[in-house]
Amino acid sequence: MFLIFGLAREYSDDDLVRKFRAGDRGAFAQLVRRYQDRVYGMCYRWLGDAATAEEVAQEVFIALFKSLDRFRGESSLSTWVYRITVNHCKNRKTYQRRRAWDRHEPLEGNPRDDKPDREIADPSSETDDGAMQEEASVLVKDALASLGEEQRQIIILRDIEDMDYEDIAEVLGVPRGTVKSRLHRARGELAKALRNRIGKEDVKV
Amino acid sequence: MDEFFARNRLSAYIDGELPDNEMAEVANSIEENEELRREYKEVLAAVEFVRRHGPVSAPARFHRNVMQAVDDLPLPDARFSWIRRAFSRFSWEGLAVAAVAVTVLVLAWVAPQNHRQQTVQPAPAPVEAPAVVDAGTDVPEGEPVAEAPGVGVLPPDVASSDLEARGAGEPTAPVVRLVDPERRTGASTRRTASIPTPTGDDVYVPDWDRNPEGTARVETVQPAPAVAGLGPVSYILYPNYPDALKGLSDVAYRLGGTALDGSGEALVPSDLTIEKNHARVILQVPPAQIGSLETQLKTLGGVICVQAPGPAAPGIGAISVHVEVLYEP
Repeated sequence: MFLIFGLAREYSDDDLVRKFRAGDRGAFAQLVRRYQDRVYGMCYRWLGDAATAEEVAQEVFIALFKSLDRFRGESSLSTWVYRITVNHCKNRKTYQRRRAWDRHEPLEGNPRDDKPDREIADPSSETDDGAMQEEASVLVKDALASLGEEQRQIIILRDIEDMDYEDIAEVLGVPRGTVKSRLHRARGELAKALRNRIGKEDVKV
Repeated sequence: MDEFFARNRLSAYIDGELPDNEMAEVANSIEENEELRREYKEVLAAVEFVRRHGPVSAPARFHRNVMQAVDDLPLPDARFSWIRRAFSRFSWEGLAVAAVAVTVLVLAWVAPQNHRQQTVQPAPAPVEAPAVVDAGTDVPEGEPVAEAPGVGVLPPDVASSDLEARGAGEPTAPVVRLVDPERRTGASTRRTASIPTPTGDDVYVPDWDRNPEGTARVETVQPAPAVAGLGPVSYILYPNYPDALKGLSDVAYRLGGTALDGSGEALVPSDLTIEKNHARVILQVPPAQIGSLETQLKTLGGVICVQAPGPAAPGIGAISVHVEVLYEP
């Protein structure tokens, strides 16, 4: 019974960091499993294509592996992971812009591979629900692409990653008031981009 | 609650980030105002749609790929982790600079006084203060040009006595051309050049600083850069009195708008001092009143228009005007 309890126990982030520092590579594997969807999702929504997102997300975890022993615990581990992810996404965006400028390439990502891979086989992929989910994901992607970079950042962190204002301010290195005003404008633009494409009838006032 | 204020708070209302009394007031405004209600439903629908369909899952192979990538990397040595954490506050570059600085100080302290070599530099020749002329005047050919010091120094009404000297062909002090605020353009770059001291015929205005007609070109200045996290500055205000922030708050009120501080919170005016002589104020002004803003600002002191305020942001109904306040008593 105790063995089963031990196997089923969910370690906290702090526990896993402590175990990693003590030399347990398996602890890092658990951290990757815990954060991979969030990190990959943020990269995908920020950078716009699956291949680049996977590459950058992998770089994030490699950076995390190398720097985890310097994590002092002043903020939560999730905030720290998001901060690393934001920095990597920004750097990649800067690199893409520079390369597009040098080679006269279009700025937006690889047109051949725009869809995210699904980890779990979707049993409804043959039905209308699967197609609708696919279409909705594309709508979100297009709407985010129509926003400026700062606005896209804030929508991803608040409305997709569900971070609170203080954590967003810490990750982006801006005052809380700036987060509020930026989010307000970003949502206005988002509503304009999705206008007439999504239903508003079910929204309760 | 005023519709303008309620509209500005829709996003915070959706997130429940308002005080209780403001939550109730925004809710009432939404109920009473049809246009506001429509806008609220639109924003809320967009937010809920993104929340529902925004998250994506990592590919199936992702975890395996990451673990393979870190397989060859060494695990941290637990014995030294605490040292790394202690020093992780500082960048290695910062530590290196600090070490060099300490070494220099120690060497300077221990070096015997009588072994130091002191060189005496001749005092530089006093430089005649440049005359300041109005930006509309074309400087005659051959007149050297120096850059105006700083940004946006307001011209006193000085009649240039050098103009007469120039007409007589005498060598004169370099003329500082002041930028006419009305001629400021967007993204032109400041031109720099070393200006040789004029000696009789040996004076010039660089070719790139001339108009095709051969007269010196009006120089324009880069707009003040946007501070990270804040918008670009529209106006620089040199107030006459230390209570300028209160004055800005009153200006905003008279125009039917609001005044915010640099962090987007309601401005709490305090007197400017020699030590604390700088502030960023964001005025949110109804578009119909934007034409009166500069006149209102001029009642507080000297004003430089860096760039015209942009259009009203969608969904807000007011124009955010960034004013940089520099108090120089």
